[in-house]
Amino acid sequence: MLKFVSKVSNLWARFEILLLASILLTMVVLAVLQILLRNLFDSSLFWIDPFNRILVLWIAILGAMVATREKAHIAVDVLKHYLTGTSLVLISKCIEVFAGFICAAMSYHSFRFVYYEYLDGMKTFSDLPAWPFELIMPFGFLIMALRFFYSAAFSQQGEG
Amino acid sequence: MKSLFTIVLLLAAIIGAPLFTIILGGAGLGFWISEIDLMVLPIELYRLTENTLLMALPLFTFAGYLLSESKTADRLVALSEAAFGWLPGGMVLISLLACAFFTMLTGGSGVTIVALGALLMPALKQSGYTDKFSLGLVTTSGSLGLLLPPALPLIIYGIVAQQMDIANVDIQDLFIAGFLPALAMILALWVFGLWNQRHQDIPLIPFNFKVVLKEVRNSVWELGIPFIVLGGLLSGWLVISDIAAITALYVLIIEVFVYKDISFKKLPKIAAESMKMVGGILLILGVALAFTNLLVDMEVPAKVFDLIKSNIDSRWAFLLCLNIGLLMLGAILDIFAALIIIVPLILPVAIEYGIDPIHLGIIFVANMQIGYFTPPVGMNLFIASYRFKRSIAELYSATIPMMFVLLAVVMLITYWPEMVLVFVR
Repeated sequence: MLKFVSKVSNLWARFEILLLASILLTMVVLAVLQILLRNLFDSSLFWIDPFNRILVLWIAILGAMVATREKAHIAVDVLKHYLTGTSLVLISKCIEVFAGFICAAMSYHSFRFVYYEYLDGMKTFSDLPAWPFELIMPFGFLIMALRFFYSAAFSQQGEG
Repeated sequence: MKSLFTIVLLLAAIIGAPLFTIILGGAGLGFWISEIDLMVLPIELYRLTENTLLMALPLFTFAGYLLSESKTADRLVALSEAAFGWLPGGMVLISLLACAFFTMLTGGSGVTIVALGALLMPALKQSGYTDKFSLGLVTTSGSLGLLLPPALPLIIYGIVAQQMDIANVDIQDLFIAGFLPALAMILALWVFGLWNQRHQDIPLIPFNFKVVLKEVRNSVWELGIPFIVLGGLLSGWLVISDIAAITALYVLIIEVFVYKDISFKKLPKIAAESMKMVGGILLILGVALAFTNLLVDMEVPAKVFDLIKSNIDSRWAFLLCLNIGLLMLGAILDIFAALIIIVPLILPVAIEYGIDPIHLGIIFVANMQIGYFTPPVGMNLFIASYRFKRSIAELYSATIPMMFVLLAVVMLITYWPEMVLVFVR
């Protein structure tokens, strides 16, 4: 069972990295295309700017998901430089449980937000519905929560 | 229940939980106490999509990571060696300039020490500098260049200030104001190097125009980067996010197709690595938006101001306290996180004391820059200790003299606003 979970999570991690890279490249290409259109052809594609701004949010959350997986979040970790052994492991587990709960709560409220936006039929650029673009928030935080809990339960390393 | 949660939150902050979870928890608690639906949290986070400027962060960082994964550092050092090797203390200047160039694109996240350290340490020692000096110089230089365009901390400062509707904070102005202070820091460390190593026998490399020309030809594509950034900035044709996009695409093309230092297969990994850092910062920025609004609703900045006003009566005393506070903060907190959390509190107070917001931005970043290698916990000390396999105590003694040199420059920056603002106001 554990083996299966780790296999799924590895596959998912690769997908995450590919998604992140393609979003980043899309953003670069679209932004430069927009500059060229504006300066050389005196025209522009209206949807590029709002779309790229949404991609920033996707990058933020996907990047944070990768950071969660690799335990590379920004933290005030003064204490950890002076701890070793059991106490370090224990502290790390406490941190992961706490972070997991926060992410789970954020995921829940994000789901509510997206659901209300869906009910209200909120629109984003080019008259597209807004809610699919917002889905990264609930799902991203859900996965971060799962990763924190998984690591708290099974990880042997003393890193937070 | 609410007080229990407050205690849990404080404990989590002390034991070092990820910063975004603490801010989220704090904002959540505050809204909960004010009886506001917690759906406000994702709504505030979604406001990240309102600011075009934010695109600059992932794009510049991606460009910086691409450069650090390719052989840019070798070419850069070879070129500056040919160009400046004839100067006394040439190798010191080379290290300083190379580090500054790297840090300005990567934001001083330790990438500079990792990417350039292995190259500069042996080069410095080979030129005749002592081991201790070389170690100190490389570690200190790891955060040099944070004030040079397209300095990411200055962009963040500008974004935070603009979000608070503070007038007169233009990112372009911040970049221009950062230039002289950055130059002063580089020169001060160079002069210190000359003096500190005066008893060492350091042979000069004779200037050879042909060699310089050859090295320029080698790195000509990478030399285009500062031209894109500065040209775009000073011409006024392009906004910061445009410059970032062009820089990222340009670096991508030259490193993958011209120099062929980076294979296509490695790209996703580099992208993920750089976005891991940016994602963390952006997420903190996003959740801090909620937190800042809460603070303003609770009139915290006004209370902070009253508290400070009743204890500190002059502008100079305020600046001194600011210096000390920021140095301590810089040692324990990541620069981006500190900007996002502290600037909303300090900026209104500083304006009341008659401090120019641009000047404050420069003071802020300059102090935090020193915090990177302030004992006992400056982040770059640990990175360098890991990278060069030295004890942390060795790094303390190697960097402390240089810390005082830069501290003197920071004092100059803080108490001589005219120098900082000369090209701006």
